[in-house]
Amino acid sequence: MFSFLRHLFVPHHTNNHRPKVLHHQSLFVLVIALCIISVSSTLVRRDYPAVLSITADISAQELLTLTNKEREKEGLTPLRLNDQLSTAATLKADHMFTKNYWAHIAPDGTTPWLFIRNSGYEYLYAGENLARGFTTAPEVVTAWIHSPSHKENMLSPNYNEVGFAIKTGELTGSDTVLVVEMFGTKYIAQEQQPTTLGQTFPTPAIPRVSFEASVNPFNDEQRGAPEIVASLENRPLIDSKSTTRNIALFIFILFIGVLIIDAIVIGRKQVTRIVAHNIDHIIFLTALLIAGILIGKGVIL
Amino acid sequence: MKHIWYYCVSFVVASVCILLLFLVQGDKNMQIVIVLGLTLFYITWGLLHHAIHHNIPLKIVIEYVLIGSLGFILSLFLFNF
Repeated sequence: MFSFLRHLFVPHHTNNHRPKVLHHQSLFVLVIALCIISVSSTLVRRDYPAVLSITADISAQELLTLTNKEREKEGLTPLRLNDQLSTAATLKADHMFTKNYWAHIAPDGTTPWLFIRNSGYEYLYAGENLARGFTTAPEVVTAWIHSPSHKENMLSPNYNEVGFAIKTGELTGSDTVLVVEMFGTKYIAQEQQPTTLGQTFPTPAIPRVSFEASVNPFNDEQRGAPEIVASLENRPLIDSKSTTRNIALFIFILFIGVLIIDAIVIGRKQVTRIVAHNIDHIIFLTALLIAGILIGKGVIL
Repeated sequence: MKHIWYYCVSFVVASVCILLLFLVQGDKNMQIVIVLGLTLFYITWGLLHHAIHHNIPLKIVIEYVLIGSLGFILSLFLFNF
């Protein structure tokens, strides 16, 4: 067993002073195998989502609880879950998937405020936070709270209601879990004058557009009034995102390790070989590994 | 380390690519373009170095192409493209 592992990972006379995993044949087989795994996993994900797909453990209730915990720390009143804002968030999420964009304002100029108005929510203040690629609610809330502009929305005394949408789909070329958080405060005509719209994304305040009933496609019957309006409950047999990521991390670390061992051992033995520079490979693979670790997780907007 | 400047260029380009990948978070298509660009640079720069300072047998070319392909495909997995 030891000699087999040495043959695979350590330069030795049995492997012609080059670890077997770095031989051309081994690299070629690995590249082909990874290509086959990539294509087959795409096909399985498409045809058998119950077996292999992305998954996440995020619920609107948990997002609400965590958001309110942050507000409580600042002595602010807790936000109430509003089904109209959740409908607006769902409309926004659907629009993002349909139009394939990752932004507060759609390429066609549609703003988040249209979805809020279309949900029937007449707002005095409104705002929006977005997140994608996260797998748990604490990860989402933590990412938002570490971003000044998102934190400002979460901890704004201007808002007293919130709605969430958590949806999966393909966005800008990859399967992802999308979380939309819509904040709002209802406009009450007799008591308050229309004012400016609070921003969730860092833009200048936008004058509140007067609400037009005709643009609201929803009625009470259509909307319903669920207490928990969004959660992700799909639980495939295999989580494609974490599985492929872990496979890649393992192979990256294995190859970087073997290249370092190879460089050290051959450097000591002063063996002459016709091979490429190990440092080239190490810099290249390490850069990709670092990038993957740093940015492979979710992003917020 | 007689070719330190050469490795420094590789290091700087790799660092810039990491920064660019960070800046285009959320845009998977741009991330693929950047990873592909880094892969092509790695292969070209490695072969150029060998061509200038050493000889460049087919074995070396194949090694750079295979490691480059491996890195690119693993990135597709790692970034969940």
